[in-house]
Amino acid sequence: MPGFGKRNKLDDLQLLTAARNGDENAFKELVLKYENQVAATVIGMIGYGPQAEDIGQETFLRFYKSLSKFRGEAGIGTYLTRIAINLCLDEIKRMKKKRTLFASNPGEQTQNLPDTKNSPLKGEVHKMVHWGLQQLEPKFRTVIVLRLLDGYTARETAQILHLPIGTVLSRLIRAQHKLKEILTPVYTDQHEVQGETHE
Amino acid sequence: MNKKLIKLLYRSFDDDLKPKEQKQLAEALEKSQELQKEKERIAAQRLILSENAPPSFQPFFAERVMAHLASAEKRGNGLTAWYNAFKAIFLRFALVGLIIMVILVTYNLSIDDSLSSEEIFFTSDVTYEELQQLPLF
Repeated sequence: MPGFGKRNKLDDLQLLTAARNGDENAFKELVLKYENQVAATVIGMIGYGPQAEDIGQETFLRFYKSLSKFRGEAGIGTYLTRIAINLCLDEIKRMKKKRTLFASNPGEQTQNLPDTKNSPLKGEVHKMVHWGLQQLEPKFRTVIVLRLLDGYTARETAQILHLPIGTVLSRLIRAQHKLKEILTPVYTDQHEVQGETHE
Repeated sequence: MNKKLIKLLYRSFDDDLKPKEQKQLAEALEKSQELQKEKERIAAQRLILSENAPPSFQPFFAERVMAHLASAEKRGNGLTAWYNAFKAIFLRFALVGLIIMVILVTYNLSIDDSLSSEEIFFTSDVTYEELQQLPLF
């Protein structure tokens, strides 16, 4: 996760140098080290599924191709997160386009409030949270994923997204508001269902 | 609830508030139970989110990345090999052409002393119409 110590940075530098010199094992070490972080970002952004795995792989492939250009100013984790976020936003755009193209009513909005009939009423909190995240607009989802799932500070989030800190803070407020609106009915329904089963 | 105070409350989780803002929020929290509840609710929602970060990809992700990388490199190498083969063939054609030209020039020089380019390349008295009448056209 972000905020690496000095030792971590040193290790990263050594691995990076070795990977640049063609040491595949060193690159694999970097993949192993950062795969969880990339997974949190990617799955948080687009949910579980084969696309998440593809984007995860593509993130590391792009990182490999840009090894010579990477100057290490941002830290490998931040750099990978930036690549992953951009790939996810592209994928979301692509999926939205596809959905609009095949939707029966093209004017229909794709990011509606949740349909509680299809919500994970009996699922665990984990599924509910991720389902809720997917209902957010990408710009709001991005800040929540970076700040709360990945654990970056608001300032780091602003740096990753190349946004002013004020924009990130206001997006965080709106995102949390929206998430509350989305999750409260589902949460209430879930409690009702649980109550009924107890009775 | 005061919208400004709510915003301040949310911001307090992500940013350092100024001393004046901190004081304002602390006073408001002391006075309002509703605001206190909202603070607890926000904290709980954030905790749920941070505790429910996705675990990871399927096992052996790194191995799949490395395999993908190897196949991408192989594809890249394939392209390079194709380019090199193309270059080698083109080079041969260019060499053969050069040799033919040298032979042509030498032949023309040997049958005539003139060094005009028209005569060297057999183009001195060929008109466009004559060229068109050649069986090639």
